Amino acid sequence: MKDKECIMVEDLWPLYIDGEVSEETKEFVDNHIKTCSFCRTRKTEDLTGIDNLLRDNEKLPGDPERLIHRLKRRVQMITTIFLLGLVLIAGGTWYYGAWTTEKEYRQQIEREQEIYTEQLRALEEVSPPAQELFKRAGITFSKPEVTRAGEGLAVKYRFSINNSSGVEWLEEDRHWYNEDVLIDAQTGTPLKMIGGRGTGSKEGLEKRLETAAVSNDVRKVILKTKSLYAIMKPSGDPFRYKFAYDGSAKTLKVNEKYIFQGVEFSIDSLSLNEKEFAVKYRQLTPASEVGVYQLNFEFDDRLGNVFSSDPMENLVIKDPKEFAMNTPISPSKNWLLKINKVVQVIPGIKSELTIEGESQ
Amino acid sequence: MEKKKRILNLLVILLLVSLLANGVILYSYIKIASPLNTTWANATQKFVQYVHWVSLDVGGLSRPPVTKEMLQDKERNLVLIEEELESIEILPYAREIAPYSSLQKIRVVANYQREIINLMKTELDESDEVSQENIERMQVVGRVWEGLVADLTREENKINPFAPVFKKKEWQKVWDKGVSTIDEIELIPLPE
Repeated sequence: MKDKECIMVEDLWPLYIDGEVSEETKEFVDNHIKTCSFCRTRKTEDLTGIDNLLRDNEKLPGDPERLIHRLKRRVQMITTIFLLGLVLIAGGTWYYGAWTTEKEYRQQIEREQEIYTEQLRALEEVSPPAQELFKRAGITFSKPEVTRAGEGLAVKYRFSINNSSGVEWLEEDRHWYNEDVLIDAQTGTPLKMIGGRGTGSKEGLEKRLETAAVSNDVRKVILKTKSLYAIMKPSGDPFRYKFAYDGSAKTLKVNEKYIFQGVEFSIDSLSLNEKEFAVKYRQLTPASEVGVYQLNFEFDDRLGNVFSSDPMENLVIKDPKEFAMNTPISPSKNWLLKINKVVQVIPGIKSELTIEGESQ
Repeated sequence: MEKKKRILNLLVILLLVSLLANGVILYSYIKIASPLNTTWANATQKFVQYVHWVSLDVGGLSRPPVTKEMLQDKERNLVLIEEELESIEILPYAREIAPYSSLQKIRVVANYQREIINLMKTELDESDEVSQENIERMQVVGRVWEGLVADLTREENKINPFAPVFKKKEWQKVWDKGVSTIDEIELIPLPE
């Protein structure tokens, strides 16, 4: 019930809360609250409200604890986003990098394989058969022997260099995608190869092949060997071409002829730059008559150093042919171009063979 | 207030730890960098010394008589140069400071001088005299070596070998400049 005292307490209430009343007034208000349930309830509500207000005030912007709390949350959030981003970028880069590298690598291999297969096709088209070239080069081809070895087949063949031959070394094509092939003559199915060893030497080239398990029904096989490189020393008039090179890129017209064992070549031009030395030349004697020849050049810096590259590195069938190698490191300004080796490229041989000890 | 103080203390500790860590890193860097400079300085000086020895008496070779002993002495110095080049090749950052192409050019000059020495030895065996062509060739090599010594020394003197920071770029410059001398002088070709 609200009476006069209640009205007085209500008037004094704001001052009472702020503690700005005298001891007597405080005592009066306290005594009234003890006896009046209406005012007691009100006081409790007000005081709870003030407490809440005070607590809220503590969390007002500008409060250090609140600021640090917010800062912490933000730092945590930024760190999480940053780390997540980092992981995503790193993962993405790695995945994309690995994927593209592998893809590019595969594409490059495919491109190389395609070019090489095309070159081999061109070699077979323009060159006389291998047997004819062997006669010309002084090479004897022993008929391959095919025997059963375990569940599979073993094939052995040999190319021998005759004493009178000008061939210094005989080497088979090193490209893995140009392997010896063994085919079942009846069905035309290629047999799975599990091994192959070849040893090139001054005496010739010996090769051993092994196949995976083969059915007993297979009686005849067709062997297709890899192409061969017969490496020879240049003969006749030595080819020499002097030129100056000061490190700046240039192309020189050479226009010189060179004859090796009746095969005529024209050495046309020389391109020089800081990355590559390249010689453009042509085989004037038709390949259909004598086979395909490649020239391997060397660069003499005339300071006691000769630079060359592997004659087997590039297969060049069509004219104009090009020999190229990395620019030699030498301070020389006076150079000499020479022919280092003459290489005859012989296409692979196709032979039909009967497995030894078995009737046809 | 107390919380504020605690945070402040934490920040101060963090700052001190960070300073300490930076100090340790800097100390380790200096510890590595300084010996690198001295290593390169020693290697370069040693190389310069051998090149200087091989260049001695070369310029004025026509004056003191050319003897087999003198030529043998030069051959020994050429071996020292080649050995030092091998040592330089395996120094830290060698690929960037003295790349293979630069060292190879020096090797080519050393080979060239060895060829001239062989020619001179043959001449001495045959007639007790060396030809004017070979003397000229040797004089040109001498100029190359002298140029190399001058350039390497001049550039190397600009670097403080005790610098607390590894002077990679400066060392690159030393070797670049040194080797560029070789390209500037035209060596006389050997007889065909």
